[in-house]
Amino acid sequence: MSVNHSNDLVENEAFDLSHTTNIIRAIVEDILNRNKFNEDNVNSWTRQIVDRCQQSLLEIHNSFKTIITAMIIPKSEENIHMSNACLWDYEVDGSTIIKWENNSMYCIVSAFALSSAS
Amino acid sequence: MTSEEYSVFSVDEVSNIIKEVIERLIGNHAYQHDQVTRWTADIVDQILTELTNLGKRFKYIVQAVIVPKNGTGLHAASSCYWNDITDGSCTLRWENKYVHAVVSVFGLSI
Repeated sequence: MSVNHSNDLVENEAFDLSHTTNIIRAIVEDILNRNKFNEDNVNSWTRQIVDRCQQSLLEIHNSFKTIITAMIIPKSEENIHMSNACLWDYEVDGSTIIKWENNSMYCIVSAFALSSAS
Repeated sequence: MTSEEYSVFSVDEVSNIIKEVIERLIGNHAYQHDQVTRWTADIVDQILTELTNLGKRFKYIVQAVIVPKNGTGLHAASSCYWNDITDGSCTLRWENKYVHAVVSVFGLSI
């Protein structure tokens, strides 16, 4: 095993996928929990989810530009179709998508972290 | 800094691209369960291609959601941590008789 002494190691920090995913999942669970979908609260929930996720992501990756989107959809018989495409530096940038559900609703959170260095 | 040295995200330019691609791919087509997955993927791919052709020094995220119209809603929020001067986003809500589509483009300058 060799030791790399390089300034690049500090500047080109890569996206930490599993840590980010776990944090976001915990945030969604905390905010939505066993709540039933209702129109009065849903906008506040989506707002809280993106704000808290954004804060947490900044603590982990403060040299990255970050985009968070959150969607809450009440459960019905219909399908939801979602697709993403990214033009980025695949060596350092990354994304995670969390699908969460309880009895009454789905929540989908996408988080994208893009290095400002590349 | 002159405009040749950095690019600024143009909401109008991107909005037109999104509109054109959706119209071209979905238009007034009826909802077909087996087509929608393909539509969603094609929309983001084609928008990304056209954005790349603009030749600006940007990283892009394109996101598309399509839900059939049946009364249930879709609630969304987003948050961006970026460079206020150069970076930007454009979200288009589009519908025909059969589906709602929400397409977002985020552009981050390099």
